[in-house]
Amino acid sequence: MRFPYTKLFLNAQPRPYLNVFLGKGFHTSDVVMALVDSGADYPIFPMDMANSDYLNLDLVKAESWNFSGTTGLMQTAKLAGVWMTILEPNGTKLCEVLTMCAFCDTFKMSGGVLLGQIGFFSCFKTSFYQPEQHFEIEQWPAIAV
Amino acid sequence: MNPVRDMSKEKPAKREATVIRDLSTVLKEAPAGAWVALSADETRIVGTGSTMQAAALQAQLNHEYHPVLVKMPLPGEGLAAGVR
Repeated sequence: MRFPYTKLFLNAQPRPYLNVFLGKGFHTSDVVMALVDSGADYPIFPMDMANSDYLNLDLVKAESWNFSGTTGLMQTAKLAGVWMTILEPNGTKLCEVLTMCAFCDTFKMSGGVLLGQIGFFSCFKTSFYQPEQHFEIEQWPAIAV
Repeated sequence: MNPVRDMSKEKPAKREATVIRDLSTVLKEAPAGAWVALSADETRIVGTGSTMQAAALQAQLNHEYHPVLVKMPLPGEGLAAGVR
């Protein structure tokens, strides 16, 4: 599936964003625009997304993940398995994958939400066509074990 | 000795033009650094706030129950988003 790059500001560089939402049990989040970022280890969402208004995740016993961004500032997120639904450019559902996401209440990245290696790139073959300002994702075939 | 590659006779790579998803007009009034709720068709701002919940709540008050949330970058700020 092909997606155009998204431009948020008049003078901003178009970037590869996807519209996604998360689900856990009967709970779902709102749709968010997430930056496809091969430099991130995990998909990272604001902690707001995990709370009772959205996914109602119990993260008390969840695995902690320490990470740092380009600022070098160490931050801590909680990891949880959730369903992530990718939307097509026209807003219809493309697919849903069970994936591991990080939730962080101090994450200050301007993009808001990142889709990273484990949990996004591990699920989708992703090809960037920067000169043409689009990218393509294709779900990896299930690996037989 | 490396052979010299004569590129003058090579055809240029075929570039397929893509229409980008340009939200810059819709978002031009959006506060920098804020969470913004767009209508489901992404044609208008229906809420803003310092958190995604605040923006989503404002969207609901504006009768938009399926907003698309986006965190606005700061103007002129590039992204270097490597996170590990």
